[in-house]
Amino acid sequence: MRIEHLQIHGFGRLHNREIDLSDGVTILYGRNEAGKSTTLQFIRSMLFGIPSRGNPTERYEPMQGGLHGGILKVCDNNGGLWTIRRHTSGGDSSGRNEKLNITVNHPNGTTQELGQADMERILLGGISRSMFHQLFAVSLDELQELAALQSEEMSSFLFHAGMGGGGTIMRAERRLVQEAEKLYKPRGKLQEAAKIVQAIEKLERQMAESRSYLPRYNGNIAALKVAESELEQLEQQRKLTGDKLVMLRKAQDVRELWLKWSDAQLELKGLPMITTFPEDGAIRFQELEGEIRNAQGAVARYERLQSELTAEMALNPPDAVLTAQGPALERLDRHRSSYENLRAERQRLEGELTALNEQLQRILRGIDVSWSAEELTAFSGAAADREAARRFATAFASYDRRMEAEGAARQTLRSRLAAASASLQAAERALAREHATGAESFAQLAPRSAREVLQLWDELQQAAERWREAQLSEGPLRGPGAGSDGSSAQRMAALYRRLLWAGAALTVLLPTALWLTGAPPVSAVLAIGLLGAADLALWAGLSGARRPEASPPGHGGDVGTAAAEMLRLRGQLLSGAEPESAITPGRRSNAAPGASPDAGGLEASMRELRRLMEAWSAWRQRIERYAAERDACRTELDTLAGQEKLLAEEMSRSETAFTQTAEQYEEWLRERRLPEGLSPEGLPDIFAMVEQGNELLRQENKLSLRLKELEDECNLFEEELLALVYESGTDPLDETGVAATSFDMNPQDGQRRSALTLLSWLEIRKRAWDELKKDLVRREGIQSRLQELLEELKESHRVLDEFREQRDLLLHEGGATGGEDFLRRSAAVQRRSELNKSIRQWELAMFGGWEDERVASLKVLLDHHDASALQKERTAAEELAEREEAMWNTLLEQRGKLLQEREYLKERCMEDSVIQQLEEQRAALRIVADKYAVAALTAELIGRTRRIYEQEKQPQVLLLASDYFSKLTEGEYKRVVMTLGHKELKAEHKDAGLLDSGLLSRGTAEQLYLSIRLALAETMSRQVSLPLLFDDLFVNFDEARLHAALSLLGELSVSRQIVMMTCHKHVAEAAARIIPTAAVISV
Amino acid sequence: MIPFRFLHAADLHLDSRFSGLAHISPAIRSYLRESTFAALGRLVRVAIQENVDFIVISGDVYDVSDASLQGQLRFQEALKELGQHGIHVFLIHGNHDPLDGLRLTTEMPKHVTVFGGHKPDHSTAYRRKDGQEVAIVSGISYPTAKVTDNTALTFSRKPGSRLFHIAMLHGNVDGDLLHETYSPCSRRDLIERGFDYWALGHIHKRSILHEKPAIVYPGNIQGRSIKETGPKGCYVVDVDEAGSPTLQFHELDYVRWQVRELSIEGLSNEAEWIQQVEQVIDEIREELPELMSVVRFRLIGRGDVHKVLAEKGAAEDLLSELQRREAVRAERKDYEGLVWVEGFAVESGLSIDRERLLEEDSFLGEMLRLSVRTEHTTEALEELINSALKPMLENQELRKLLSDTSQEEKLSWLRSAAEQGITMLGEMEGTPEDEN
Repeated sequence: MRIEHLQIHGFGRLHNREIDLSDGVTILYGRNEAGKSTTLQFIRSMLFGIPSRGNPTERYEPMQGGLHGGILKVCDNNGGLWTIRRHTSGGDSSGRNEKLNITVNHPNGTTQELGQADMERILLGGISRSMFHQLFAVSLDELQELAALQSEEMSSFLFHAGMGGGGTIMRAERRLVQEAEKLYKPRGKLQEAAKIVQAIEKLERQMAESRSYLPRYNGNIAALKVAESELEQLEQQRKLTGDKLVMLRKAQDVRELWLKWSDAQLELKGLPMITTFPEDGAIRFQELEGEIRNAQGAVARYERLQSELTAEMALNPPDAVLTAQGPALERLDRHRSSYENLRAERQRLEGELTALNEQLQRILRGIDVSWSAEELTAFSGAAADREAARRFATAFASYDRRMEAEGAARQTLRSRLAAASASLQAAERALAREHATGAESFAQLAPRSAREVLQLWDELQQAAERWREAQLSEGPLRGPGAGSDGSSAQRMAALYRRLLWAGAALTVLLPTALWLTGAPPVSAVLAIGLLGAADLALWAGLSGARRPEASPPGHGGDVGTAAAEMLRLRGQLLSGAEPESAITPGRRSNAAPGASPDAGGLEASMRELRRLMEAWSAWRQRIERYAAERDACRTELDTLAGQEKLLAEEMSRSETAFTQTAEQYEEWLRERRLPEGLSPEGLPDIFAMVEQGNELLRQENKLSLRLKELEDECNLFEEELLALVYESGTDPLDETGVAATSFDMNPQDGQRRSALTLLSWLEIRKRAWDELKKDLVRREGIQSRLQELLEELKESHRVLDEFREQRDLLLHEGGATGGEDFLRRSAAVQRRSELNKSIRQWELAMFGGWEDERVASLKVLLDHHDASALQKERTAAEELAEREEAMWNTLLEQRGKLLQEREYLKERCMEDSVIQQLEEQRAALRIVADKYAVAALTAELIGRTRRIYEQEKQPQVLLLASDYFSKLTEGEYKRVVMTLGHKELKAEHKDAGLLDSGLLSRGTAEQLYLSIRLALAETMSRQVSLPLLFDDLFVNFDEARLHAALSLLGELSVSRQIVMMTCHKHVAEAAARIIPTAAVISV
Repeated sequence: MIPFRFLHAADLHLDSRFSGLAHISPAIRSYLRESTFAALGRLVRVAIQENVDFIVISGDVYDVSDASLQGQLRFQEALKELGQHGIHVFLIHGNHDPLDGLRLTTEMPKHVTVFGGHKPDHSTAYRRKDGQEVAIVSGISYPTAKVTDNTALTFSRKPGSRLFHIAMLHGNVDGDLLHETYSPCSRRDLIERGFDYWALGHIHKRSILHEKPAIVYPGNIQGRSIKETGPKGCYVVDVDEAGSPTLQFHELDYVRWQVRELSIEGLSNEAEWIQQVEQVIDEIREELPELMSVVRFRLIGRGDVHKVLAEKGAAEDLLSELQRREAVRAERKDYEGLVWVEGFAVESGLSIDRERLLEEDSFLGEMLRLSVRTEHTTEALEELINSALKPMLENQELRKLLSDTSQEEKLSWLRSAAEQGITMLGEMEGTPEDEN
């Protein structure tokens, strides 16, 4: 096919352009954007349709608008001219609405209108749109798209038809290998084959045993045969040995017997022949002898017994007296206990009587010593007596009470009297002491009466007042002096006063306290006295102190007169103590002169005086109080003394009444002969005692009567007993005898003891009587036995005679001369019969059940061998037998084992299927091997075919491509290879060998791709030879390769139209130069 | 001549292994093992029932290589039973039980005549009912396993005897290639010896080589592999007054082997194919209701089912299913009518135009051409196989197996391989969308 003419109505930037293309090479040379690529697109669109709006980059809408499309004129190989008109149908919407008109003018002149499909088929030889783009109208971009080569469509060209690029082949190969390896793999353990092989190996090991069965069986048969024959031989041997052993054993067993038998035979020959002899003669003889001996013994025994009994009878004759007394003794013995009771009773009663007497005596003594039983019975103890006694008692009691009360009152009075006199004394003493103290302390005071003194003092004081008043108007110097004296006296007086109060208080309180404490009146009186004295002293002290107080006179008025007045008064006051004031006036004179002129001295003396006066007035008060006290005490003393006198009179009157009553009582007592001095209170006791005494007397009488009765009974018993004692005077018992004598000698004293001895005598006597009774019974027994003995003795004598007779008869029968001879003969006869019997027994024991022949040989054996020889032979034979037995057993065992083995083998071989199993495993292995072989062979076949394909039988395309590539690279590369399955494109360098296309340089790679495309194009469109349209493909080619490429294209252009678009001048020029026929069209 | 009757058997192969059977259940195995003995038992019964005067057994009573004690003992028992019926037995040893081989050392009973290995002796056979001499029996045993001399030539009639002459020979007459060529001789050799009946052994396939004199292979009494198909048994020979023998075959076998061809052509899917197979099995069961059958299916023809068979192992699946069923049957001791499928020989192919493919310039074409090229030259085949099966040589067992593999089998491998290749790559050509 050849494109002749392009008429572009509107396509991209091209508008109403017409291009004529020649045969061979046409070069469209132009600057960029000249429309070279658009032209390429235009041709594509014309042939395969204008791309839809959905693909605007390839649609190439006319830029200036207008008609979109054009006309392409193509000449086919047959010379037919194709005119393809194609325009888009307006602008309406999507889709490929285009107007297409294809007409073919055949050379024969016919014209035909065809559709797109027909055109593609006829004109383009069925090349698809994409393939056209990839192979025939190629731009640089598309050249480098290797993927294009891998499309299904093209790979069928690159590879061989139906191989789909070899993927299936590879897969199949792989699968086969896997399958095969699943079945078998060298040294694999898990594969089917390996398992089977293992099983085979195992079975083969078992095979060895399996195969051994037959030889073993053969061996077994042979061995069994041998064993059987050996057994047979041994059996015979054993029989012989056994016989011999039996013989020997028998010989040994019977040897003892045999020896005896031989001896017996010899002895038998030596014994005398005795034809007749009584049967069991010896025994019978001996029996008789024995009987005789027995009888003799019996006789002797009986005689001895007789004599013994007779002697015993004679030995102890019975006591006649005792026999006579016997019954009486028994009776007494029976009464003995009652007698003893009687005696005990008697004793008790006697004791009681004595006790009664004693009590009576005591009571009598209790009443009065002179009293006896007569008085007692005489004393009535009537109710009148009792009344009198009570009256006396009351009288005495009332007298006692009165006397007691009066005595007590008198005693009180006396003590009060003593106390009063004591207090009087104390008061007197205190007064005296106070007087004395006052006299001492106030000596300086003129002994005037107290009233006078006080009067003086008042005056003095007044005088002092006046003086002071005067003084005040004159001078205050003098005042204080008088005060000082007065104050000291006052202090003294206060002290005394306090002491006095305390002493008085004590004097008053103490008696009361002493009364309360109950101190003896003397000490109380003493204490009161002392206190009273102390009080008085204090009182005196106080008076003394008071006195000077009164003495100093106070002076008042005007100083001079006052002072003088004072001094006068003072002088009056103190006149009594002139000597004393001699010193004092000295001082005072100093003072006084001073005082009159100076008031100081006056004042001081005034003060002293005041003090003195105060003490004096206190003392005066004390004196007065003590005096009053003394008077009170004296009055009380007198009252008390009167009272006491009255009381004493009363008491003497009572005394007289009492004496009268006492005399009456004395009289009463005498009348009743009661002891004198008995108080009326004791009388009831006496009455009680009298009563008791009378009671006792009655009891005594009763007891005495009873005692008498008892005494009589006892005496009766004792007398009876004594009669017996005397009767048995010959009684050998000493004690009784002594008792009897002592009884005679000492009747009163010995009564008690005699009773005892009598009783013991009775006891002994009774016991003797019992003994005697027993003895009598025994004697009777002996007597009867003696009678029996005599009879038996007679019988024994008779039997003895009988036996002796029999013996003599026997001796005669045995033909013996005497006993010894008879025994000898008997022994001989017995021996013979014994020997005969033994011989028969032994023979039976030795040879019983044996046939004569063997018996004979046994006898020979015994004759010829002694014991040791027999033993030796026997041992030898036994050993032999043992050995044979052992061998026999071994052989039997062996045979048993062999038989067992045989059975075992038979059984085993029945079950044995190892060989068959092995065969089966081999068959299984065969099957596996078959499968493996087929799989492996298939893989091998495929592999080999693949290699043929890859190496030898390259597809046409690749061969061509190799050729082109070689040309393009000027022989640098030799071949293009496409591996199967992996679809790897490889180039074979002349030196470096196969190289992966990815490793080639950009230019070389493009050359490779170009080669392949050229080859593909050449191959695929062989019939229609489509034109090639290349859009500037050589930009990366060096000059040499460019030239090579161009010259190649030149070659190809012979059979194919080639259109090259380029913007490179050197390309265009080179093309023009290298391809002379090329037409260069500038656009 | 006095008429009499004898029984001719050979190749008892007692207790010898059954080859080519894999994965059989213990019950099946024990039955198979018992089958040779059962066949022997039947032989004894036939001899008794048919009232034969004597029996000739022409070698290979047992396999020395198996050294089966069981075989020996059972044979002894059988002989004993025959002895009880007064049936004389003439015996020669063959290549599988040569005289120097291991066997039971017990002495043969008196009614058994065993011929030696030096030269064919003459022994007289008597008629049972009256004890009359009726035939001269000659025979020669194999002294060792390998006898390559033409021992037939040493046979000669008993001089002066006019009795019926029987020759017992264990050997390969006219070189049957399926069996070892022991004691090779030609039919002519035999005819020329002047005997009336050649009682042959060794070839397991029953055949009467010649009528007068009769030259007879009775075949073995029990088939033991898929190679030994069809009824197996013995001949009862009636010799009439004229001295001409009449042969009557008696089946003795308990397990019948057969190969069934099954074409897959026209079968559209696997189910149809399975149905076909089962139908055939039912047919066999009906045909031989009293025997156990072992059958191998040869799948032939071209069809789409092949793909299923070749690629998805349908044949193997069905095989194991069928075997399972029959094993269950065997467990029930229901051996009669049991049909054990030994295997499927897949010799079928896809429905392709092989000739066209051979012409085609394609991968498959190339492969097929390679395969065909290899088939035609032995060296190429060896080279291909050695190269492909190299790993097998590393295992002793497989190596042995490989070396035992016949040319035929190797060729069949190759054919199968080519078919498999086509099957696997076939889809490339026809329907690309059918990947996998």
